[in-house]
Amino acid sequence: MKRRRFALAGAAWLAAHWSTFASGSGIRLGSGPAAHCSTFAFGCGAIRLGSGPAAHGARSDEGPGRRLDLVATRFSFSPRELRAAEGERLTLAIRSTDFMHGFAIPELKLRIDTQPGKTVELVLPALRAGRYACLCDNFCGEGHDQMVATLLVGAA
Amino acid sequence: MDLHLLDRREFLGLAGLGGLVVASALPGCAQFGSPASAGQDFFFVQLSDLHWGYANPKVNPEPRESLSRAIAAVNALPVQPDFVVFTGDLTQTTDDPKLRRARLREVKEMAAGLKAPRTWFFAGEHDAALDRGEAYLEVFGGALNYSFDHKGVHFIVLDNTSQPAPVLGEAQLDWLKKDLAGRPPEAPIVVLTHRPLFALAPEWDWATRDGDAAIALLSAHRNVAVFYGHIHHEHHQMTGHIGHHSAMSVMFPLSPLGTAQQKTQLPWDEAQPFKGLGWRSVDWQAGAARPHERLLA
Repeated sequence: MKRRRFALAGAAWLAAHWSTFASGSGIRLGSGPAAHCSTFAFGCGAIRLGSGPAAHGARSDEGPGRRLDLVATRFSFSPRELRAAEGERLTLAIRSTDFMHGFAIPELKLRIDTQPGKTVELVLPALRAGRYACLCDNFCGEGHDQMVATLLVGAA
Repeated sequence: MDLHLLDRREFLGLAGLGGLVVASALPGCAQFGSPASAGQDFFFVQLSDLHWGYANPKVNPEPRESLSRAIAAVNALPVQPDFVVFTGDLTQTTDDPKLRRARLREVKEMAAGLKAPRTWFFAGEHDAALDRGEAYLEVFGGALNYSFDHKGVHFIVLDNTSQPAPVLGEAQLDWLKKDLAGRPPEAPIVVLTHRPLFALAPEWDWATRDGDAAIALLSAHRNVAVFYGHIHHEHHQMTGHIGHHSAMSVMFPLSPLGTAQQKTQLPWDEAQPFKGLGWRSVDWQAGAARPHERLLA
């Protein structure tokens, strides 16, 4: 099965380039096609940038880190709880069985579309300890609201 | 009869099947320019998130009664609104295309019982996301996004639900840009949409990914208000000078932000049936729009 890798830089990088990126200037992150890998374009400054939990200065050229497999099926992620050590880099390998689910970590402004029958990869920056809410952000049916997961980093 | 001729207490008072009215005097709530540019006074009603076909007795054991009560309450108003707008999620989603169409048709038939002279509809993600609005358009016709004018106010319906992703899309943003082009900066504009255009709570799927692009276009106009649904409770927030006002659901309430770790459908309260459910009238007077929340309980 062909895999696609989508590398995202850390939140510090995003903060530095946010205005350019959010303006849709076509900057591509990593080696993946930008159309399949995007960040949120939040308004109102509702989410902090720069001083956020991923502000360890992690860079996309530091490697993909530990691989963590995840399966997306209407209406759940398996496993539902993901764990990582503080500062550890992760690559989430997400396989969808049935729908173009989204996998989003809003606090990190990271998301990716899955593809039915395929595996997509989302590289996370090194993270500070904490709980990070994850969700499917493509409406996939009646149980869509239950399609959530939690990323636990460190002792959280 | 124009709204300004009504006795204010009568308008705000209990109507028909009852329900408390909460009148919002909100900062930036559509203070639309000078009265001279405001057109005539009127009011309209917003009904949202009917979720027709919803079945969870722990949350709403009387799902068919909810919409009937809301329609009866609107019909019992001493003066009828100029129009009623249904701001999405008319139906509970289903994988069955026939059932989706049946539910949409039932809503249309029930809405025909409104005395108001005009109704406007648009889809929510429950109606349209799984088939790109095909069933909705079949039953209701028209378009998924459109605009209309009423007594000097320009209404714009934005579709952020007919794809699985919560987006407006470039084509619609281009359409919005053209729709706004040439309108005076002070022209009163009301946007009707389902999801919040701003990032209210992306972790609860309460956002439109490219909503900031729409807000940027709208921000060139001084007198804009947005009325939306989706989050199943009243909420008011400003982005710059634009007020965004969500309405209650007719079918089930969701936990407000900060009250639960996860988005939660609130359980039915036997002591107060229909608690947390309601609808809204928007009173347009002297160039200002003021929403009034009306409770079904």
